[in-house]
Amino acid sequence: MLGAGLLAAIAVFYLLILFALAYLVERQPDHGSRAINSSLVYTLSLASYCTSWTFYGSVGLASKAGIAFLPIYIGPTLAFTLGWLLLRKILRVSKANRITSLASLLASRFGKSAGLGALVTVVAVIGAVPYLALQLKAVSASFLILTHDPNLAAESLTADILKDAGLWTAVLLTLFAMLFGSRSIQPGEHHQGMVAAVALESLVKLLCFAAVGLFVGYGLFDGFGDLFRKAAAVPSLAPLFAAGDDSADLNWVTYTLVSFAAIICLPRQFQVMVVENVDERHLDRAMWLFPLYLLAINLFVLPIALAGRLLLPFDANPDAIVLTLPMVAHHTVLAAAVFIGGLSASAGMIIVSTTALSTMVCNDLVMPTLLRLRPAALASRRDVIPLLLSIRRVAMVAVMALGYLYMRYVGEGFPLVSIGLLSFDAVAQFFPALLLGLFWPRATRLGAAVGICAGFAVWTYTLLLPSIAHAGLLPARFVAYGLFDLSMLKPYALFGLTGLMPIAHSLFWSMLVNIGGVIGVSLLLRPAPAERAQAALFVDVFRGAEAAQLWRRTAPLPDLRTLVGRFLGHPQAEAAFLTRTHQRGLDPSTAEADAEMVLYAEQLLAGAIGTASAQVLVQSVVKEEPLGLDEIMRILDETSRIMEYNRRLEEKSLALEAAGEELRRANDQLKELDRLKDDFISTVNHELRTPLTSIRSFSEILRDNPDLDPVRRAEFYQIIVRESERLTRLIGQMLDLAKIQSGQITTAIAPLDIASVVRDAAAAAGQMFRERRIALDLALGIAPLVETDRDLVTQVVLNLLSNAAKCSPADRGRVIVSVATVDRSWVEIAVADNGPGVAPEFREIIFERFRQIGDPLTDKPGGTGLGLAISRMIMARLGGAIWVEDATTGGALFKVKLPLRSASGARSDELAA
Amino acid sequence: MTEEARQRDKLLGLFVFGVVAFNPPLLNLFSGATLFGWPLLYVYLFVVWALLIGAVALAVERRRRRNIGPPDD
Repeated sequence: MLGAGLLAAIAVFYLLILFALAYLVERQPDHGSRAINSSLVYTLSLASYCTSWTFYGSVGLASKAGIAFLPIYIGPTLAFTLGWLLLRKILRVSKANRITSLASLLASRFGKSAGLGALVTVVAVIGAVPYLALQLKAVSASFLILTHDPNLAAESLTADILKDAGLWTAVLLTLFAMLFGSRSIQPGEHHQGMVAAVALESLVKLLCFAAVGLFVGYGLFDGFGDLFRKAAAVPSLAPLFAAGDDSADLNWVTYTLVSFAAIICLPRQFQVMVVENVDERHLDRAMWLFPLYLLAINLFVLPIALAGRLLLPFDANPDAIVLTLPMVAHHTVLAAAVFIGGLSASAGMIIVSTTALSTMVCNDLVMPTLLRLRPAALASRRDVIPLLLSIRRVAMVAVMALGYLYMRYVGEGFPLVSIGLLSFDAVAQFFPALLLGLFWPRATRLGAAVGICAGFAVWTYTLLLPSIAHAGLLPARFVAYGLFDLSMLKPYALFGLTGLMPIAHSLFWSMLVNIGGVIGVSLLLRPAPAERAQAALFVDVFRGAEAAQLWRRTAPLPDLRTLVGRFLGHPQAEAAFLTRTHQRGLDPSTAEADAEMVLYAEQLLAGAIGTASAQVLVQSVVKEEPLGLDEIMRILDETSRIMEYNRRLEEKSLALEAAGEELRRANDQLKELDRLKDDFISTVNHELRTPLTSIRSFSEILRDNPDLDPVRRAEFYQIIVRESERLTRLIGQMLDLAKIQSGQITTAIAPLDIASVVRDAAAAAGQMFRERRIALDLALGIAPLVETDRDLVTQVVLNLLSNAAKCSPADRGRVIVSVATVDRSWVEIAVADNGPGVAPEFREIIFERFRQIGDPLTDKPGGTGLGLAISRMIMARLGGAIWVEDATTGGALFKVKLPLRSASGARSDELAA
Repeated sequence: MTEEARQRDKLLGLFVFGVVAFNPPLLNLFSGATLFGWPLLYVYLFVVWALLIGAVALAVERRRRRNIGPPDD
């Protein structure tokens, strides 16, 4: 037990050391920046994530639920593993746009929307209040426990408000935040003194906590193995070593997710990680050093919790185990150290939080409102800095007051962890809009606003209002029975969803409407052009996206300088503009600021008062004219030039590929043609040699055997004549074929009675039919007049008739020729026989040159093998067609189809091919 | 594939590893048991955590030593 006066003195002394450190760092900016400019300090300042929630609350949770406290630190570990993909993009985007808070970031991404910035600010402030209350409660309770009997129930706060340590902590820390968090207005909002103090606090709390851990392990027990063995022997502690049931699993995943979002979306984490970051490379080391810090501070949580369960009475306040253990062991110095560690944890969080929230309230809520409502009053002030600073300080006091009130009247009955998770759940509502805003160019302002609003509404109904009702400040009936007694609307079992802890339940519903809102609305509505430009700037930040200037803005340079000076201080503004003019190699005496200079001024202002306000302010001094059409075209050209170039390259390579393909195909075709030619020549060679050989050999027999008997002699003569005829026919047909193929054939188109053509052909072929005693029937009817070439058609019909005569069986053969008009524009000549027919697989092949079907060994070729090939070419020339089908008489049915009106002439090229 | 992209993919892989290793159902495998008297779940979580941090540190610090910036995009 410690005297209250002594403990208060120690606390104040510690805070004074922090003041002094912050003051020294701020006083000597050069020294300071060297000390601050290290990844170690950056990492330690990030560790303000570990608040008194970690310091006291984790042990409290672990003493009841074992390892379940851990996901809150695993989420951030995973987030930092994604440092290069996610965090660095946020850093880069924020630096490029001089972002000073999460509200500014979202407002800027979604078309510099003041409304969205204000919405985010309101949600962030409301969400932070329980969290601030948690810190104050921890300080207040720890002070109370240390100065009173440890077995006293910690919930009973002192009735006398002036003796409440929480109040004095709040006052002192608000003072600290005012001094170092809003000492001056600077572009970029770096608060090096504050960062140094917070880093020191992180170090102190880690050391104090580790000291308790080691004391528990080696002071109270015989090493950690001993501790674990003793704990394992107690049956009631067994659940602390197990992972738990399905509901615990769900909580685990929920806490991991929510802490993943919180490490980025908590206003104070955004402040230390993004706004206070002076060098992007510090993030590299923090990617592993920060998780290492988290690991170190959590290492002793479970052992301390187990020791608390083993050594302290069952009804001891679990959130005070860290503090109570040294006290029970009468280790007063360690107990005081624990108090300082806990105070550090609280103080770090409170200072950064109030600073971040006050910046948000000033830049994204109050200033835009003032600019809209009282622009004249604002314009008349020469120096706006005092106004800005007062707004921030008032905001700090207001936020702290809210936190204190929440602690006093609401937070009493809840464990530390559940209060903290309440806040995590609130800030997680920013995460969908942030993530989609960074990676999905189509996410729109309205989508983000709807998502955040809906998610926040669900959070308020399912978590915040029940917690207030629980404290008796609202009628509690709706918690148990639902709003208007509708059981569907029970805040802890919305729409009948049960089986989830309140945090997981709330996160599920809020994220459902939030993510659904952002994506759904963004898909439904198209963003405005200015919004799209901002979106591209954020999403493509690593591709060197530059702010596209849709307007040509110019302004008198002195006006611009005065404007910036009113918010940043006149000497600073003067210097900033001078440096910029120098950098760009402009004439320092230039009186007119060009578009880029105006943009620079806007960014300077954005660093001090937020993006949305900066835009409104700059707009008040610039002369703005929309770019002319050709200028917009030029800008578009600039940006699309490279795209165009890429596109052309791609087209060219595609064309090359296509050409290559064509060449390959042509080559294949040529090879095929070459092969066909070789085949043709060898076939022709063979076809010509066969009759020649027989003529020669029979002639030789006749020459060498003059005394051959007359019958044989006549027979041989007959063979020679027949073979000569065949040779003649073959040569004639080959000539025909060559003529048609080379396109030399001329057609004489004239109206023609097709029936007479068929009759003439039948008469010419009559001898063949009579020889083989085959019947030839003509069924011509009234044949129409056809415009075509008589000789060519006759040749085709003659070919078909001679084929039919050859194929039909002698003596009982029967060939029918018929003519019919088809579709009014075609005439069809059909030649049917009752021979063996043509099998389907040969119906195309027979129209190729020298292709005859039948057994090549036994069947003597009846023809030259060229007739059908020639016929097909002729028909192509005349615009008709020739094919073969099954005849009803059992044999083959050859059909020729001709157009009634000639369209020939244009066909010659096809024929030549 | 550039060196930068390789490093980035390595970190992405570590992230996925972390997501799997730190969550149910894999986590439940170690529930309840002890290792030399130490609760296995506790040992498992902290060992995997340390390994993950070590792997990230290796990937990041190698890049820092070579003085190349992290991958752009």
